[in-house]
Amino acid sequence: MIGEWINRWLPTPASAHAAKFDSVLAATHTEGALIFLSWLVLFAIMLVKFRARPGVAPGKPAGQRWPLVAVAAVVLGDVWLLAGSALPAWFERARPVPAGAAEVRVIGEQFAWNFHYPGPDLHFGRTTPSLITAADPIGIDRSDPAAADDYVLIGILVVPVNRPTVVHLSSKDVIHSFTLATMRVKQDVTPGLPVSTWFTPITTGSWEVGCSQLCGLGHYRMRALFDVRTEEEFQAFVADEVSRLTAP
Amino acid sequence: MTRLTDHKTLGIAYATTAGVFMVVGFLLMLLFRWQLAWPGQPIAVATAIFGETNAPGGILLPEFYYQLVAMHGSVMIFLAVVPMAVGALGSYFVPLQIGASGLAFPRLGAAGYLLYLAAGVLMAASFVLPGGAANSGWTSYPPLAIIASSGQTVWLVGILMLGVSSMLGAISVLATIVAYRAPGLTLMRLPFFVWSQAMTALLLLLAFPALQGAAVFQLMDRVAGTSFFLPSGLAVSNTPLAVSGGGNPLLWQHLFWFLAHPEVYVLILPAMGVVAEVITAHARRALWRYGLMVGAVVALGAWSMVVWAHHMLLTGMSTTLSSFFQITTMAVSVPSVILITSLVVTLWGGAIRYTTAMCFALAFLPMFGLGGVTGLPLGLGPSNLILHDTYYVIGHFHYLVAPGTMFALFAATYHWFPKVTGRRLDERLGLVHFIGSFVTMNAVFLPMFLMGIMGVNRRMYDAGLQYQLAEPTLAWNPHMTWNAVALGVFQLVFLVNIVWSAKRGTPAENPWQATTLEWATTSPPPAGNFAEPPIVTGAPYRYEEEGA
Repeated sequence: MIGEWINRWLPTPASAHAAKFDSVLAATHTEGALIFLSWLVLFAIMLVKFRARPGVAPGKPAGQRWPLVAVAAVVLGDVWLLAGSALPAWFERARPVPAGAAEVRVIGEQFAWNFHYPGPDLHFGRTTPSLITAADPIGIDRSDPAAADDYVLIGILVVPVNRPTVVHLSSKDVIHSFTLATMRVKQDVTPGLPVSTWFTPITTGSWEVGCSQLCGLGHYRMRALFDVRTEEEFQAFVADEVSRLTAP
Repeated sequence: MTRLTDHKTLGIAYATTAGVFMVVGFLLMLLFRWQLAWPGQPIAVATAIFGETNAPGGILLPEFYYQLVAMHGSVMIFLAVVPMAVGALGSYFVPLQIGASGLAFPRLGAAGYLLYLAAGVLMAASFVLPGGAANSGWTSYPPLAIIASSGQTVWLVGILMLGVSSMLGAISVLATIVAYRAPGLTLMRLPFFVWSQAMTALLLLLAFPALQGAAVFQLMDRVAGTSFFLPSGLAVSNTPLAVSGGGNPLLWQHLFWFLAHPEVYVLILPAMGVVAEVITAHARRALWRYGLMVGAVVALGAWSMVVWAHHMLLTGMSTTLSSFFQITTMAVSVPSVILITSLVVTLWGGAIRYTTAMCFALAFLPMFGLGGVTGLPLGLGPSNLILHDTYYVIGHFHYLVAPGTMFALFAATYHWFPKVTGRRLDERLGLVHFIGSFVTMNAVFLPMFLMGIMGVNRRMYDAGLQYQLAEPTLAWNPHMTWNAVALGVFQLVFLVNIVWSAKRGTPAENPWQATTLEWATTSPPPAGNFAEPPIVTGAPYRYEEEGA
């Protein structure tokens, strides 16, 4: 239908929940277009039919009831969109994260995304604002044993395909909005209010992380790379990053 | 000063000032549209006009660009459209339409205008401050707005003054409608425009205090070291921020949208009122189901106070809470559709006279409809996530307010110009203005929906040059900008028409044979409006009786 046709312009849907979210968009566009276009046809006919003509007396006004069909159609359409499409998809996303997910902490700042990985021990080391320096933008406390194998990437997020990834989001300064267009992930990152979201990529590929909330003069360039790799490539990437930590 | 206590002088003062700010808001837009069309290309004269700090070598800096964007929104909403739709049209026509000699509390009305003028001059002058005008968007989200340059302080003071101004005006208009109606003019005989102004005034009165409070908090955070909106542990540019912390940035968003969502209806309701007046007079029809429309406009106003957090669906609020706001948002479409349907069905069986006023009023309907329909995906969580903060949002609200409300304001000008001046605007120039505005506005705003669907974010200084997904859309921007320039040229035709017709237009008393009370006196109305107080015996729209 009309909505599916419009959806061809969306960024490639590449996560497990993308198809469902896209179908909500398609449904709203289809409903909206049907109502709007049928209304437009009626409107156009009326503009011609009821134009003032010399010597022609105006006709009778419309009946009291039949035009309310339009209102009924909109009510039914709204209920259908909410109950049949949007809310089920919305609540499905609120379910707990499946087991075995990869975890990344994402720390936004003017105008960069920092990605903190827990390393092979799967535990995030402590971070402290007072340890923040230009070289360590998130202030990892290396005295914490859990921090020993942690590594930080600036400007590139790498995740495995076909496995859920949980992103724990926080901001150092102002509100940012973590955006993975192809994953249908967008989450405001408000300082002081850490929040998590998750997604499961279903194809490998190279896309981008964006910022969707005005965060200052460099907002337009707050972009990072986003790589979805096979599980083997991802494990090799983890091993490579950890080996760099221990290298002199 | 004393003359501003006359509601007609007050209305014209509002209209003139708001008109100037409309031009200012438009020029700000042309500047940033240049940057979007040709990112980084110098404008030959820019350095001479805006100085080395804003435009070195003629290239607009991001510092300047974000001022232009924030101030375009602030100027258009707070200093142009609301003062035109409420201050100008409300002050001038509400007393006339209810058969009154003036506004109740005329000094409050005058004080409201002077506060608005002062706030406007102050906000516009903030461009010359070091660091320039406010640059954190018209939404001014903290912490960004709190660490922003001093233009933001002026913006907050301006908003406080505008809030007081709106409330003074609202009290004056509401009291007028309650107390000054002509004998026999019961509430259900009021012209629909008066109902729309009453609801608008009520919304301003109830919603603005929330933003007033929030603006004081943000001002204190900026100048007095408080932390209403600042959490602990902030580090800007890797330097810990010396604030006590413990505040919450989301509190601002709730308070801001508690005003700013009803504010959207403050922009829309007077437009619907105007369209109702124009359509009835120029199609020779009474409003279809007037009582239902009054119910719908009251419901729409009331309901607009419980949808605000749909602007915040992605802030991390609970699924239950966001579902509540998705449901209330969908429900708001019901009174909106009742209003639009009634306006369209009013045409049924009528005799439509295609005057310029009528063309603009009729064009309002599909343009508003498109804005409304594109609100559906934005109101639902999953599709909102896809489109949030993209150009789709810009397309959506501009269809409501630019070809929407602005077209209604144009319709009001062509319709009521004879009432104010005793002369008609030229219809040929009017037709050029209408067709030109209709085509160019759509050429500017229609592509934005597709840009948004493709994932292009708003508030991008370089139009998205850094993003792969924006690449195909970059070539569209020059076309949109040229259309914006053409839109400006067609507005020059409108201005010429106003100036020329005020002196030389065809004299006219009641050229539309309209039956509402404002036409029951001479054009322009004398001091005191009516030689004898009118007595009302029936409905406002009595076109079917005359046989047209």
